[in-house]
Amino acid sequence: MTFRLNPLYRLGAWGAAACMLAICAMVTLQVLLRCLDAVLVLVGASRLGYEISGVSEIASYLLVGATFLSLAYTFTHHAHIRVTLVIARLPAATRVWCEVACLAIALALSALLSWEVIGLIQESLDYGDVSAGLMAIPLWIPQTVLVVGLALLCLALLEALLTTLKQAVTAPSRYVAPATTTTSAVSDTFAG
Amino acid sequence: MLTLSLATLFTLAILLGGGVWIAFALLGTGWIALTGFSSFEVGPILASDFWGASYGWDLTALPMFVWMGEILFRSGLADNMFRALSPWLNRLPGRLLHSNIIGSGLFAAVCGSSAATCATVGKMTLPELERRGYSETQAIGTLASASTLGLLIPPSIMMIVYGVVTEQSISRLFMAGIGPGLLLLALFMLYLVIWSLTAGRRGGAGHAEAPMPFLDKVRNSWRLIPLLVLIGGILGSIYGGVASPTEAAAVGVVLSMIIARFNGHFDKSIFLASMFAGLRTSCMIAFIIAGASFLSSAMSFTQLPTQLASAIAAMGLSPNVLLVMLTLFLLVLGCFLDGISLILLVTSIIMPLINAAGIDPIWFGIYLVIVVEISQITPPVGFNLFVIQGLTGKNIFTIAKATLPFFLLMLFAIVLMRAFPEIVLYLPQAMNR
Amino acid sequence: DQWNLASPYGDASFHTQNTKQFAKDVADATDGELTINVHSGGSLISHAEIKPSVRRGTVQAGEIFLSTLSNESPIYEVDTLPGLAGSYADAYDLWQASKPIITELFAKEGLMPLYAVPWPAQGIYTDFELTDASQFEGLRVRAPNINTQRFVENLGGIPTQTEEADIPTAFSTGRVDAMITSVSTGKSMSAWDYVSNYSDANLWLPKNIVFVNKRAFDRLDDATQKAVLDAAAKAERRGWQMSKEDSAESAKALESHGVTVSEPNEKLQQQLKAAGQKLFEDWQARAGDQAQQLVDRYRERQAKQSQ
Ligand code: NA
Ligand code: NA
Repeated sequence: MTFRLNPLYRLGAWGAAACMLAICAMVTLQVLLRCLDAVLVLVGASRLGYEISGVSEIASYLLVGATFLSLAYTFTHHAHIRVTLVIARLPAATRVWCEVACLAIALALSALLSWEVIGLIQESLDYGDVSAGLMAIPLWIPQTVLVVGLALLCLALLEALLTTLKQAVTAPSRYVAPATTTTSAVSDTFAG
Repeated sequence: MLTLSLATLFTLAILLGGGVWIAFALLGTGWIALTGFSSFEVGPILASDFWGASYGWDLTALPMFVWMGEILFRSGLADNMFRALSPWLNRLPGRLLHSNIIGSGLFAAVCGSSAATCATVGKMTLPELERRGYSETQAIGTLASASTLGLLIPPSIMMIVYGVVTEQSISRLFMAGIGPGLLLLALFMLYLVIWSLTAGRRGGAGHAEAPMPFLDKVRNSWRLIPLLVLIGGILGSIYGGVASPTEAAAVGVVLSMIIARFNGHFDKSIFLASMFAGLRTSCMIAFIIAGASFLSSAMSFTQLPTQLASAIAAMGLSPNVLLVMLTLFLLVLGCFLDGISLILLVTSIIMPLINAAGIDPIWFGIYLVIVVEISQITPPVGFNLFVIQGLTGKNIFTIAKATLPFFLLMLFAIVLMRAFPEIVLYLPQAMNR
Repeated sequence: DQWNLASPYGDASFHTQNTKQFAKDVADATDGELTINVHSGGSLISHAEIKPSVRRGTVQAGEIFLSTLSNESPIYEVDTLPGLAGSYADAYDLWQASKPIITELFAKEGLMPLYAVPWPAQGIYTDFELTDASQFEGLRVRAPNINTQRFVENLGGIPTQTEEADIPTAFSTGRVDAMITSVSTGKSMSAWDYVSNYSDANLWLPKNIVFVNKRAFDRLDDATQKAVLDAAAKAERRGWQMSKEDSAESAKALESHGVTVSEPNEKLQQQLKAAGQKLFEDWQARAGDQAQQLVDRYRERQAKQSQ
């Protein structure tokens, strides 16, 4: 299945990658500073005591981007898992409608979820909600990232639904289900 | 209560069986349970619960460890490990299949989550075992079950949750997990030996390789050094006091890159490939975690698990019968709820019973952790099954079937722990000054 | 009616026991007209999501650690300022003085406070005998909130962020050398596993607050409303008493497990007071007029008490 908006989903994945790198970099820096302190104590000097305040707090919210910005990208690589035990045995003409139903359910749920999270953002803005830790991060920021990830997923699901629906109406018996790929099988298609 | 249970089961079965993606199946089931069986407004619960499950410091370890696994897999370090191990394990029935168990045991000492242990170890072992012609069923079974030890061998997220809600010492719980963790490792390896000597003779237990002189074996073992350095480095960062168990995950990523650079192969393309593959896996798992959290939350809003637990509480059972009933109850519940929810939901009703029955709360904590471990490999909601489906493309029910013997062994371990509580309590009691 | 009350604290905590008793009192007083299900230990909703959930009306009532709201208004910091109110009597005066403003702040979000109960006073856990503030030099102290962080900095220590769950490992591996918390929390986390001394410095008494969704409350008839408020008043009195008892019991438990509990000496007391005073002045500057009124009211009450 080809996705016309693929560049957009890839962009999302790069966003997620940036978040993941940021988490890794911040934590590593923190650990290196502690190592430095340990060395200083060992040679008899006193600790510098640099603690990057709020590493854990920022990382907790970066995680939202690191995992959910790649929702659509993961979907287009068929890496969201499902049970195909039953539907794999259906004839193509039946299977295609089954796929349409699955996609419709998934699209409805993601749309609903996005809508409700938008409500959450509205509320966070209304009450000026911030995180409870030292950084006081405005919650609408990570919540918006979550919605962007969900919205990308909605788009990908919509594309898939339209393609499958077209197939179901025009040539249902020639439907070929997307191959069940494993995370290792798509190992080197990171850019695609 | 019965209608609700049946309706929930039915919805989940239809959605999962119909091929709806697992995260959506969980979300949909939670939605139906709440709209059909409670007066709550579903939308806000959905939003706040999904949001609440999508951020968190502890959770950041998951994508990091998954990424680390991808680096080890792609840089040839995993392959090196197998080549070094295989001459040593040549005589042991089951041969390299033990690498799943030993690998999980080692990695469990670094990582507090079962899914991350499974993804990291599996990424290294499964492709190698497949290439070497080992039984796929046994490879999957040992991996799925042994990686649940991530929860039992300290550090452990589940013990922390239990310790915080029941006000038990977390360090004692950590100590208490070591004995049963080793017991389970031994039981799993013993089973594998027996299997290889019986059913495994027909194939799948690996082939004897040409015997290698002892000195060559030792010389060959340098290939193990990079991985030992990695595990030593991660453990060292935790116990040397420079990294928390969560931070150690990022240390693992950086260390594995450095080691891969010097002792395997690592370049820009491997860096990118491992990062994006890690993103896909952790996105898949995180989405399911959020879905499972909503389903769990929906269940607790409908009060179903609480009512069931109260029903057991009202029976007035003797300690042993209580434990048997409780295990059955938790096994069923564990099919649908995620581990943390399981612990949170039941402790507040169960703890008074446990105290009344004179069961040691530390012992009970370890018991609960093992039950939660079991819930990781029972379908339909079992995170290790999901991870392995992501790795192999095998169906979760097929995977669950492969874990059946290990499931039974874990139950047997609980029986042993009941008969000999010292397995759990010896170490924490030795801690008393 | 049936209400749900979400609390982050486990059943073993005296706060939860008090809240459960409150629920029982309400049910008894209304002949079961209004029952409140207490969901303890974060089993229904996690700590951070409790206030938004009550605001939305997903659950009708909730209990939270009041100073987690510090980022919303400096007013919520008032019970974490070291040296301002270090005894139960002072803390009670401070709560009475801050209640009107907090009620106002809650009302803006459609919430209504029912009662607040303090934790025992905060002291300092170390694995050596604390005798002088200079010992804080280079010491890594767990600082869970902004004021503790500033306080530790004022004392010359290094404030470190450690998640609650990470405390045992952090202590045993030396990432943290000391922590500031109550005897009660120290007991529940088995502090004796990793520290040897507790300096009973009576720094501040932070509170838990139990509150309801105002719309849900307004829907009740007058008699039921009164029953809820009466039970809340009773729960507040009982809670403060329970806190005092828990404080004494927990201190005993610490000692019986080999932790040396001692009062800080005169000099250390002065040093802690100075560090706290600086924090208090910063806070006053930040918090503005409302804070000044609050403090004036508090001092007035104290003056009356001492007469
Ligand atoms: Na572990
Ligand atoms: Na399960």
